[in-house]
Amino acid sequence: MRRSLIGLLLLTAIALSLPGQVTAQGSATAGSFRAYVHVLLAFAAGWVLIAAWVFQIGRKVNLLAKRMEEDGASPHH
Amino acid sequence: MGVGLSLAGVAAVLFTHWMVFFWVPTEATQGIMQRIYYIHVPAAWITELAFGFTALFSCIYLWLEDDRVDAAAVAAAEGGLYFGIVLLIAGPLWGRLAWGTYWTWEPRLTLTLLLWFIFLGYFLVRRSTKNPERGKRFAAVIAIMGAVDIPMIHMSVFWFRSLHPEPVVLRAEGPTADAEFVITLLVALGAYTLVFLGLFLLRYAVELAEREWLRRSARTTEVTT
Repeated sequence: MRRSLIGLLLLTAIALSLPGQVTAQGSATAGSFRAYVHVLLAFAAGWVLIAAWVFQIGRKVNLLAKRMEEDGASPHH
Repeated sequence: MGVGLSLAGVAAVLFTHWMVFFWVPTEATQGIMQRIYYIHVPAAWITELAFGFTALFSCIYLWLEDDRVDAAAVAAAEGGLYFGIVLLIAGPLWGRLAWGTYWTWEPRLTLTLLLWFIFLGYFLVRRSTKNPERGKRFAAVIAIMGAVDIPMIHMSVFWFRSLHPEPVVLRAEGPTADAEFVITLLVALGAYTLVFLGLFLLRYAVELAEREWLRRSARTTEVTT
């Protein structure tokens, strides 16, 4: 998970720094490429955060199920 | 119901992506970067809706002292934090292209970041007290006070000299944007709202189940000791 996060951050840094070199050439296409990268990153952030919330809800469900299972197996019951 | 709404929302979001990348025309002034609008504005809307819900549920909780309402407040606040992060990522990505900088301490951005930190504080305060009931009450007060920031965020572009653009849709004289932009925005708003509502209902159900389990465990411990 940590490696994926580091990989994602590196990719983001590369994607954001690359256009800086490309726009130095003064190309209109380079400006469009950079804009598209920003747009895609923004939408990707939406998906990542929604997935993160889903993941967190799933973790809570699993934890609750595990606790209930332990309670069911407990000698007190 | 939460699962159904979430899946419907995801399908609607995918349809929104088609509209954003293949249907809506490129805006004349800002060009391609304007498309960030279709994730940035829904994220802002959901963040404020979620924190508004939190404040409303907190008011009701303080009045009725019903734990189920507090559970709903927690679920809403959590959603607000996640969508707030989307807002605070999409905005600077747009700002970098439009203003040449990812961040500036101008009124709307500053008040939005403040709102996010207030609701982060909502969770920290809940856990900061030895008595959980007291923590819930403190958090409820923070949520109500934090919600005051929401109308200030809206009005900041009118009250102060702000870099942030003024509304193009929610205006007294009607939208200034073309129909395709308005339709795409409304579809995006609806889609992300469905996702939020679906996940909110799921999170609420899990919170209720967790609290019920804790109550039963506490009762079982009392009986056996």
